[in-house]
Amino acid sequence: MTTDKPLTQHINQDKPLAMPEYIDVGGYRSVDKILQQMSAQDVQDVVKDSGLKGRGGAGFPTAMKWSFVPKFEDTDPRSGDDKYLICNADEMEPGTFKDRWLLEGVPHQLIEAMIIASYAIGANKAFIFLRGEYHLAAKRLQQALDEAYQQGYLGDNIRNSGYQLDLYLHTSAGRYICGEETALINALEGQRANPRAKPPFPQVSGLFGKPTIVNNVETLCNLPHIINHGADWFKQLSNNDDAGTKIYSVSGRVQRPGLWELPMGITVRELLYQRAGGLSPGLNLKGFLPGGASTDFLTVEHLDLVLGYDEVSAAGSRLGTGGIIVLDDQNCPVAMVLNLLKFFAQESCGFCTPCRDGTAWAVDALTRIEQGQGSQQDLDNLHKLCDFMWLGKTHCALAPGAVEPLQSALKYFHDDFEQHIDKGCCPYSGHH
Amino acid sequence: MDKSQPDNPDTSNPAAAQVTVHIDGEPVKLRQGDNLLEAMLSEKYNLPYFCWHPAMGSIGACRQCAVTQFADQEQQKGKTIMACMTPVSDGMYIGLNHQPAAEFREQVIAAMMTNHPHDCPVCGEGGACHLQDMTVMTGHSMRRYQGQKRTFSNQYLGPLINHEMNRCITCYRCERFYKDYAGGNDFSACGSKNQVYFGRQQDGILESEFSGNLVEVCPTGVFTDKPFSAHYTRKWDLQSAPSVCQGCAVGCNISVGERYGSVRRVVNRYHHDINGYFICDKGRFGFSYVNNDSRIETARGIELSSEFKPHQLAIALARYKSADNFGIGSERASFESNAALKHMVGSENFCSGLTDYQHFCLDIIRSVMSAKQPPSVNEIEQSDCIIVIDEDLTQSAARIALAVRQATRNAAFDKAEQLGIPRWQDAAVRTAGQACRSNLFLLQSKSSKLDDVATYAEPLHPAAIIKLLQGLGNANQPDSISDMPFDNGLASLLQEIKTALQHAKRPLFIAGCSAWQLETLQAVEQLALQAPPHWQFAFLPDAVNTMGLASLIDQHTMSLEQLIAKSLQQSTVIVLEHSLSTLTRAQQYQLAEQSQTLIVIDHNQSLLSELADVVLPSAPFTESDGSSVNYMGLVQPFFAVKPPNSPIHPAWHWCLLLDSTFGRQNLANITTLSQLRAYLAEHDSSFPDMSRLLAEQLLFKSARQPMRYSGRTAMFANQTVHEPKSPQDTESPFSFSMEGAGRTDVQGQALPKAFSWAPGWNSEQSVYKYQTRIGGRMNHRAEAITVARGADKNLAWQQRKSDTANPGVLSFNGLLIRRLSHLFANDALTDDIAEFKLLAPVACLLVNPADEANLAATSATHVTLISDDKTSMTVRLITCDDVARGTAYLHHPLLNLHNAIAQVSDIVQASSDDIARQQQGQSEQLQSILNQKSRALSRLQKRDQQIPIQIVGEGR
Repeated sequence: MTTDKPLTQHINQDKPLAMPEYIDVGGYRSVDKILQQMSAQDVQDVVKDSGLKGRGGAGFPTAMKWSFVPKFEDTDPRSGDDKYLICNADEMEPGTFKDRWLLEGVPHQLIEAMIIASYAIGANKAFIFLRGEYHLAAKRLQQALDEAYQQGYLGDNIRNSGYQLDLYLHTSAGRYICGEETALINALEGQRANPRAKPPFPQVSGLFGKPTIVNNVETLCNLPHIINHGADWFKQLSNNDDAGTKIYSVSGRVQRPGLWELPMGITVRELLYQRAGGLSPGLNLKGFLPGGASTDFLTVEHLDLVLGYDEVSAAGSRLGTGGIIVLDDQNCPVAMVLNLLKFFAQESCGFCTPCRDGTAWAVDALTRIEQGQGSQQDLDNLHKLCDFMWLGKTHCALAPGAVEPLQSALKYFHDDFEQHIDKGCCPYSGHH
Repeated sequence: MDKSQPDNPDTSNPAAAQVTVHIDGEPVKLRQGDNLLEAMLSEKYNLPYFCWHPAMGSIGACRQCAVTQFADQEQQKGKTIMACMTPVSDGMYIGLNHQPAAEFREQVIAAMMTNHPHDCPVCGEGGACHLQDMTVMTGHSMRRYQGQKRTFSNQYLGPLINHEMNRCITCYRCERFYKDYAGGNDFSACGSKNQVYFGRQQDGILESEFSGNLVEVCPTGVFTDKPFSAHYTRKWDLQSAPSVCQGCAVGCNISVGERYGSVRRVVNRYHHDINGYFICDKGRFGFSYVNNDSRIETARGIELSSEFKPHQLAIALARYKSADNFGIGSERASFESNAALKHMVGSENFCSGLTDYQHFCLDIIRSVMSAKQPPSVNEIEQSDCIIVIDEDLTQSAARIALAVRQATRNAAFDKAEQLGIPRWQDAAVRTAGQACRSNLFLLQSKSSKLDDVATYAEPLHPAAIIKLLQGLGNANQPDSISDMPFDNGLASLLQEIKTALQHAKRPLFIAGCSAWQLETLQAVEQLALQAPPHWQFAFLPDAVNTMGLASLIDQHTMSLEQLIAKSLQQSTVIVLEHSLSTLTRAQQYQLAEQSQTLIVIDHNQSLLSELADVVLPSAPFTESDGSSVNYMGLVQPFFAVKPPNSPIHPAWHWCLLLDSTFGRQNLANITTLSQLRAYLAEHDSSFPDMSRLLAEQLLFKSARQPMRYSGRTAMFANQTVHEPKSPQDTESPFSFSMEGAGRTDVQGQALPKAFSWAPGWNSEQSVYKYQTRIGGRMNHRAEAITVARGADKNLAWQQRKSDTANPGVLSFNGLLIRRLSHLFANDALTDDIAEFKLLAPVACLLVNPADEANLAATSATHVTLISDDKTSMTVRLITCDDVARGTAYLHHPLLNLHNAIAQVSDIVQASSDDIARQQQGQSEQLQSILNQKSRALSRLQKRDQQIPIQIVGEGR
């Protein structure tokens, strides 16, 4: 039996499936399949054929990421070195809550998926790096882990295959930057959560200097279904060239905020109006962030845009996490951008100059503008800062992520900024 | 494979391929694989940077070194890259002055300035600030940020370092040096966003022996030199001279700065083979005895005007003329002073100032040096397996300990190289390397600060160490090493070391002399003489010029014991810059009483100078030219930073002056140092011809004062507008003025730098302009002269080897009691430095808990060591596992003054009176240190005010 909602079909937010129930609905079948019938390369090949791309925001092909893990001949002393798989469950992107749903609703699916991924890259140790505030998810994951160990799906000699995997749950101390995979690795090592310079990439020198793969929760959760139903099935789930389904979410002042597992490549209009029920009465759409806080604003003219990785990029933004944040016409865009920039300035690790001092500078200028004390110089400074903090000039993607909503707001909502300066006050005040 | 051929240890690797890179359209040859920043700096480009450091590599934090990289010659836009994170590759097209990159660099400064205070006028870094230089270089001159600046509270970091966190630009250099490079663990980056705080968990004294380097590593004024700040002057108002640290036998190169007659500060002076970019805190802060109240500034025992003529001295001394004249040399006096003394009294009458026991030990060192050329500090850093023998390097030769720490990283560099990570990618190398370390075996009796990077660091009894060394010598025999009473598992340790040595390409043994343990040194000698050619051996004698003194020792040279044994009733004994602290107090008195005349030539007071009949004031290294010979046998000249005030003279000059009365009149016509050097080179086979080192330089004077020596015309302007005449320096290639051959011409470049400065580069970072390449040799480098290495040494002392026990240690109830080595309390001169006295350990005796019973003082907090002469030392008893069973370590200030340890006859539990007296004494001493410190400071400051008046008044 196949489904068009593989990720969420077994979700139960009140009481997730325990191990026996999960096995009853077909859980862990993929583990038996790979252990009995497939080599690690076979698994990598299937995933490559499926066209699965990373759901954490960047949309990088998962199998290609795996393929960068160095493979040594058996005679090479390094062939025995540890390799690690890490699940990035540090979901802190504002407006994004899809992983939480999967973690709380069907924790065994992630464990099953991580066994597959670990097997594929030859890792014997794996970690779930969980956002610290996800207390419920932590509790449910730990319970699921305990069950999986008891049932012989984790630990030594899994299902008598000779394959061994230890899976650890690590709860984060709570920094947005830990979502960046190398900062995550540093945090897991007990270091300051600063991103690392790349190259070397973690696939070569990651956790404790060993080859390491970091995958997002949603990305991993696709794996059991790809193994069970094959690459072709996975590809036909979507509406566009990006294979599979996507958990899209909508927040902001809409009738029915929430999240839905939908085919990859639906349109913004379908998501906003059919699923989320359109904007609340009396409000009109002014713009939206398509994939979390660190993506460029899009506007009403993009309603028929297909929500796929390439399509959104072509429109000048990013699909990101697929978490849409709606800006209505009664909310001040300057205040919204200020709020976002405060977040990014707060979460900067403080390593590189453009991010550390640039985001704080942007907050200063935006605050002045929002409070009606801004000048044209502040606006000029903001334009300069967008260039100053752009990709390639910073150590990691945090500051460019902060620039995206800022630069697009300056572009699409330029009049709002000007009005703040001209009127010496926020034209929206009183409407919030 | 022939293991006997060591790999070329030169890190600069001149063989690396040169490729062509187009910078702003000009083709330039750069070294492939270097990062673009260091490659461009090596070609003397002005490219600003902060977080990158030549010795610490790149991390890509500050983003200051941005340039544009173009795909090809045609591309206009290009992309902004960080030069420090980009490896040089063939055919690159780089835009340095490309507008977007230049604007970005300006914007980086603008961003840093959002929080950097505008306090340059009151900042100690001002005028020598890398941030100022870079700000000017990028053209940032207009503030665009209108918000508030963040503020921090500062911490008390001890008596050496000031902390002013508001100035921080968050380049992470301090943390990377202190933690990653120097191994400190009481300092780190705290917090995040634009509130990153660099400091300790709480206020307190920085524990690292290298904390002073923060002053130079910090690109702005967060960490500044505290003693310098207390008596401050701008760098451009300093008169400077190239010098050599007098703190230990490593001979780190330093630059000394002076104003108004007092020495203000010491900074590192880059030397590729020795100190590189870093010196220890003893080197940086250990000079202040030259400014102290304890300085000897006038002659005592004779009537002498300050501007005396040589014949007047002869007349004044005539009544002391005696039948025989003996001279006692010194490990801390310069090579020239020792040689002059020897030639003045004649070699039969020359005493080395060393004990018999020290002679035996030095003979061994010289014998090994003849067979094995000692490695430089830079070569030590290249070693892949180090065995440290019975020496706490951090406390006796700290710069070597820092090098050893770097050497343990070689395994990690190799591992990173396998992964294709270049060695300048600092963070990535550390990630890939993790705990992977090259072997370091610390065969020591007390734990040390290198333990954290050591393969083996358990404290061993000295006898066990000797046994291990003997075991290593028996390469072909099966390991038949048995355990010692206190130490088990020696056989497996021996096996582990042997295996490590077999795999090592550049193994190195380092032994020291702070314990002066003859049997240990003999065992090392045996090992060295039969070792494979690629094994290296480094011995660290305990004083700055021990090797210079050692090379002057011949078959006639007396030890201290031999001199004392003589009948001296008809003799004059001349002691050269030596407090004879290896003698007991009684022996010092005996020498003074027995000799008809005791003449002490020294710059600071000691017990001996109080006992002397005649005291002649000598010039310390800051006021005198000379040279010293480091542990490698390298002769290094140092230069006076200011002329001595009459009647102070360099010690070698006193020897010349005394020659007519007490000498053999061989030195009669010599008046200058160069004449003395020429004479010595001609008449003493152990004295090298230094003309190669110095002659050509004398032709072209170089300035001690920088171009911006503003005080020159302004400082006396309230009293007179006439400029005082600057003193003449006929001895050295440096003038006491701003005048001198240009620093950039060929002859100017042949000179060591008095101070580091280049146009646009006012801070110490300017040194790269004078290096052949980043991290390479200085381009002035004159030919190196070495002594004490030759195999022609007549090892006369070998035949006189006796069963003498080591007078520096005490055997008591089966306990071997040694002196505790401590960087800030190692010698008598450290006693004259207030900051060091505050940092020195309390008087204590460290014993292993299992040995406490041997002291008959179980559960005592204090013990009293009673001496033959009824004096006593009460010390705190500290039991800890850091000390090997059967050994104990004693620290007491008296040990720096005379050999108090040899006279101890009993150790008893301290009475409550003793404890009370000891504690009283301690707190009084603390108070007196603080008083003395503020007194000295106000005296110097007062003199600053008077000096212009004096100069103007006396017209000189």
